[in-house]
Amino acid sequence: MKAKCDRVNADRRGFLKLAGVGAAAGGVALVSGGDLAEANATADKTGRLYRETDHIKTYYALARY
Amino acid sequence: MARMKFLCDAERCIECNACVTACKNENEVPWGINRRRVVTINDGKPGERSISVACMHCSDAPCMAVCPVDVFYQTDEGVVLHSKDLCIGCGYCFYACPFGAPQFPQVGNFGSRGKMDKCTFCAGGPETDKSDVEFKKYGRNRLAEGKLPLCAEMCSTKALLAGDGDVVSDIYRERVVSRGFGSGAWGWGRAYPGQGA
Repeated sequence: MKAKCDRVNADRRGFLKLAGVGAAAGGVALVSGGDLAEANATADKTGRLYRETDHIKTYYALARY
Repeated sequence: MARMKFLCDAERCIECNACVTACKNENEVPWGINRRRVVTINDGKPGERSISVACMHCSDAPCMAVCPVDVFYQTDEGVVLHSKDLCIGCGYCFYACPFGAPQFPQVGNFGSRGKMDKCTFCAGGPETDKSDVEFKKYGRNRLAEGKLPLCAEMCSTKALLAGDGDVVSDIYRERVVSRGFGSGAWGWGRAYPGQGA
């Protein structure tokens, strides 16, 4: 009786695994095909780019004349 | 924390339009779009002044407030950028902007304008920094290269200043002190008659 229960549970897990893989593949196809989704993902780029490099320091020095 | 700002010294601007040309060339801006332009008042008369104008990257930007599809975002250093993928070309930002910064590539029937284009402070857009896609849509990302906008770097008289707002305002303050009058700003002579400029 115990062995039968184990076998049934294993089958159900196999089905769930297959369903999960299918859903993930569909999701990847949707994201890669949609420009809007890509744009939304990248629109969060609000980090800092400015840093006081030698180039910029030279610019500031020249602007002081 | 550095906050990016443009400042145009009207006492120094000689209306050479090098900033306009530099911007168009560096960012390969299409025909019909000027991200930057030089405005002259009292042209040919005493008191003539010119000022170079583009997106001023407002702290509380009206374009951001009116955009119905929320294409705008502001970086940590205060640069107002937008996503051309999301823009619907409605033109609300153009009406809201006091500087006329947003530009549209088309003037078609039924109000079609195309995607909005504007000065990015040479900081690209939402795409990966320094990528080809970013360059094609938004122009050069000079900030990521450790440089400042080319319009300001090219300015021969250093009238157009760009960079960290604190440094830029320090430079301008020094100029005001060395000139010994006014602030070099428009309207100073009217506000304080007999004190120059």
